[in-house]
Amino acid sequence: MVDANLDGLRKTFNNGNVVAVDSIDLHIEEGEFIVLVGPSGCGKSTTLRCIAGLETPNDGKIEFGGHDVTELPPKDRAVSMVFQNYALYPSMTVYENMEFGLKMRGADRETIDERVRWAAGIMEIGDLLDRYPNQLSGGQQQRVALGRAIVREPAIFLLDEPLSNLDAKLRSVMRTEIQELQRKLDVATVFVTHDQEEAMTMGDRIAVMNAGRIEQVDPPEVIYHEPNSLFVADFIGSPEINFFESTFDGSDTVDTGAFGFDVPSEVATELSSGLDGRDLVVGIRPEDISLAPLGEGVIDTEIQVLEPMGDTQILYFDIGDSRIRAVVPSAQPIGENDKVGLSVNWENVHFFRPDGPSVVKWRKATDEGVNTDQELRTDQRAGNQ
Amino acid sequence: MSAIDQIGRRREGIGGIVDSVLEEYGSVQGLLFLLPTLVLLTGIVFYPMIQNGLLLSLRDYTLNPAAPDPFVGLANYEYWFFGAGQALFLFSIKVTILYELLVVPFDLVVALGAALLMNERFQLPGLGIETRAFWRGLMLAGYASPAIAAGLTWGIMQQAAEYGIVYQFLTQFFDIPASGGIVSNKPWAFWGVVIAKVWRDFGFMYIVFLAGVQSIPSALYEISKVDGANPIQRFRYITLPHLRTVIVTVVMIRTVFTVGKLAIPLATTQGGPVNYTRVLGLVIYDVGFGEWALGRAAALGMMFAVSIIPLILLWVKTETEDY
Amino acid sequence: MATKSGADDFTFERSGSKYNWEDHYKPVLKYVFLIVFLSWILLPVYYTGVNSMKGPGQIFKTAMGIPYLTFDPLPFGALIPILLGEVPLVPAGSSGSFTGLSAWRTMWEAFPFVEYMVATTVVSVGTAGLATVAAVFSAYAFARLDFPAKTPLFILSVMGFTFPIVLLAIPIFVLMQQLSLLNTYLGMILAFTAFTLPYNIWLLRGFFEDLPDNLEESARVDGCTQIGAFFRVILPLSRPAIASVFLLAFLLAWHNYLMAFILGSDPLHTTLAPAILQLRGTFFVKNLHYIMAGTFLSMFVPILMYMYLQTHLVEGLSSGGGVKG
Repeated sequence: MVDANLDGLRKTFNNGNVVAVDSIDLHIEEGEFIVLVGPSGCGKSTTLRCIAGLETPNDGKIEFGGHDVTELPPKDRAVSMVFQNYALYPSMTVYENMEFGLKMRGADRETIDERVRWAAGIMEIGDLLDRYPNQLSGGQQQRVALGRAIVREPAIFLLDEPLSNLDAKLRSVMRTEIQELQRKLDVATVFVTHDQEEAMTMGDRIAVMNAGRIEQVDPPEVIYHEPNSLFVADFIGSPEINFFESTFDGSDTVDTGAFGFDVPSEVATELSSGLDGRDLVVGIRPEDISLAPLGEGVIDTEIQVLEPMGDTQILYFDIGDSRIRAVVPSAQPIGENDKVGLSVNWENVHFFRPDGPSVVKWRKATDEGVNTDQELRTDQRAGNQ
Repeated sequence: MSAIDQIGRRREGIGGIVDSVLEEYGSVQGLLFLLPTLVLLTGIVFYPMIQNGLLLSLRDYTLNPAAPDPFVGLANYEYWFFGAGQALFLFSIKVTILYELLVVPFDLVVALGAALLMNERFQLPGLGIETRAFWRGLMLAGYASPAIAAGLTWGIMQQAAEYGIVYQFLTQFFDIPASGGIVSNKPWAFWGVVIAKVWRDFGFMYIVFLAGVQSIPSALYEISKVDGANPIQRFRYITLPHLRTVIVTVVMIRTVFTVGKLAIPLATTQGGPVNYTRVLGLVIYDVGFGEWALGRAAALGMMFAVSIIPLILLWVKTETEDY
Repeated sequence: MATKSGADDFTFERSGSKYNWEDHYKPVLKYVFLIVFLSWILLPVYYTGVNSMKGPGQIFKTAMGIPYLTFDPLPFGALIPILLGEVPLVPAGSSGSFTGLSAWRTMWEAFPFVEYMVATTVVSVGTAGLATVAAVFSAYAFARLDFPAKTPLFILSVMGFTFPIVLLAIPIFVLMQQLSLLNTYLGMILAFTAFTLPYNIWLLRGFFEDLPDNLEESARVDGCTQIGAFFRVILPLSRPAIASVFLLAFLLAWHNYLMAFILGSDPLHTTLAPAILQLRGTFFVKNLHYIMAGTFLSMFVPILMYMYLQTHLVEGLSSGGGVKG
């Protein structure tokens, strides 16, 4: 069992003109499944390649189980890796592909055969061992790539967007399989993806990356419920969170432009101390907006688009300049162009500074459950119905 | 072997040392890989080009390898610019340019036509057997033939004789003198060489164009049919724009490669009548290995080289742009 | 469809002539073009082929005719010596223009065609081998490895192949004279490498560049060094490309006239291309069928190779050949 530690990792390209990874600190526990997620170009793949040894960091340190491996070439690191396009050796059979890593490390014939058959058994590719990669389907190639990676009992298991070349159905199958496999192997695993849904469902912890930095490392539920920045709140969750650029009057009222609302004193205290000025961004997840009878919600508006999703439906409204999303049960009999009132599940509302960091979440300030019955005064603006 | 033991495990002995040197000094392996090529090219191209090309052009070559070649300064260059060689020099420059201007465009049109034709299906009626691959291969007969064989055969077919079938055919349309046929009369000899040259050479462009035409997504043709484009418009608005960069590249390659080639004129007309088809390459060949005036030939070669270097650099630049 | 009031706003009628140009003429036209094209392309091959099997007199009469033989009745066994070229002219008891392969046989025996063939094969294989081995390494270095002065070195390395051979001919001739390598296979192989090696580098670099980077990376994670990854993973999967490049270099050497001519002044140490040109001086007019036989034989081998190669060529030259677009 090995853990991995990244300390102040920094990697630049083009003689320092492009900073791909900017001082990252990350500790991967023994047997932990960690997901690096972020938009393309955020440095997540570069981080993974530094861990693999395919890139040498300009600065910082990488340790595996206490050994400094920063300067070691990939072959000396005992990592195994699965690439997005699988990178199966086209001139070798499945068996030869899988034994390659063992052969390179000088294992004897019997061990090799035993390990390959063991890995093939786990990945259920025992009947494909004599085939060549170009005779396999995408899903089979994926299994071979995984089998090749686990054959060697790696210290660290690295996966670089391994599911993005698969179709949607196969992807969800492989998702659970990789999770099970990881649990079985009990190896520290780093999984890179740009798909927040994949990240949410797979990781023990998720590291959300943006512009070469890690914004937040936490278990999925924490990332979702307590995002520590605008970026994380925006990136995680589908449909995306709604943001309102707002002002805080300094005592107890927040004004979004379209509607205003009072906050309890605990929240007000946090806001007063956390904000530089009066500007803030209010974030409300689509699940926390529900329909109310006309005049009884925070605002009355018209449904612009309705997307049925089966058991739920996504509603789109135009409030001010922004398009607002809400997820409601599909049982509600409504249609496009209907006028409805909207109400908000206030304790799940997030407050952010305009430059990104989270200030407070309503519920966190008021302690859970306290404010559910609180009367909320809402004042509706004329002309913005 | 548990995972933790593998970390930092290196190969034992010499192999491990070699490995670590190579990993440490990454550029060493690049230069190592390059070594055979650099040695070969230095020995057979760079060194002789300077020693025997540049320096020989300043000497008077003597056939006896033991005797030193006397140094004559710029006399060899003077010979071509102001001396007895001037007329041939200027004339063969004209011939070479005209040759390029005829051969390359003809090459282009023939190759494009062949590529478009070979992109069609040729199913045997009734049998459903696709014969396209076979015709595609046959199209390369010219490119596959040695240039000397091609020139020789076309030269024979162009003679004014019973067996000169090309002459026999063309003489029905054109007034070609019976004494000498195509190969020994102006301006027919020039066309005779061009026909042989295009026959021999168009295969290269054809291969490249065929690949280019095949890479055009068929959806583009389908959508243009839906939009109501006729075949000519489809060629004009889809095929040509798609092949544009390929055409530019290939025309450049062929221009560079055609200049200095001499086998076809040599085999077809031997440069005649008189000097009418004597391209620069052929002049160098004749002066060098016919008259054994290697100094003069080297001087002409040097001037030739200097004048085409911009052309080569232009080509190399487009080739290495994304490099 | 809000702006349209209904189907009345459309006309569902055929525009232009009733007959669709494409459907009616194209199937015919493309065969017409194919025939025209192929008759031009195959003309020299056909011409040399059929005339190499006729007597010289027959070539003057019907150069395009297929050689024929009429039998009065000829015993079947007599055909074999005719085909083998053992009977020089039309055998007694029959008439026609067919002389079997006697011209080929004369070529083979009298004109030292066998020697030329051997020389050409040795030189072509040697050149292709040397140029391919050297090119595999340097092309990989140019495509994948980092080292100082990479771009200038690449330009220098491939320039030799754009350079007209006639400009290399004089320096190389003098060099080979100094090294006493005139009229040797080694001299010719080295000289031919001067222009085939750059070509092979150019083609193979394109091929290596198109391979996914991940293959070497995967191999390195699996425990190889960069060089190990090249030998164990890249080389095995490049076998088809390397074979194509080998054959192309082989054919370049087979085709070359100039270098072979200047380096092999001794007639028995030169290749086919100069030998073919010698045919003109040796046999002209009176023995046209010999020239036809020699020319046909020199075209035959490479044409077969190209027909075999053509699918590889299309891929090799377009994706690997650097002709991008």
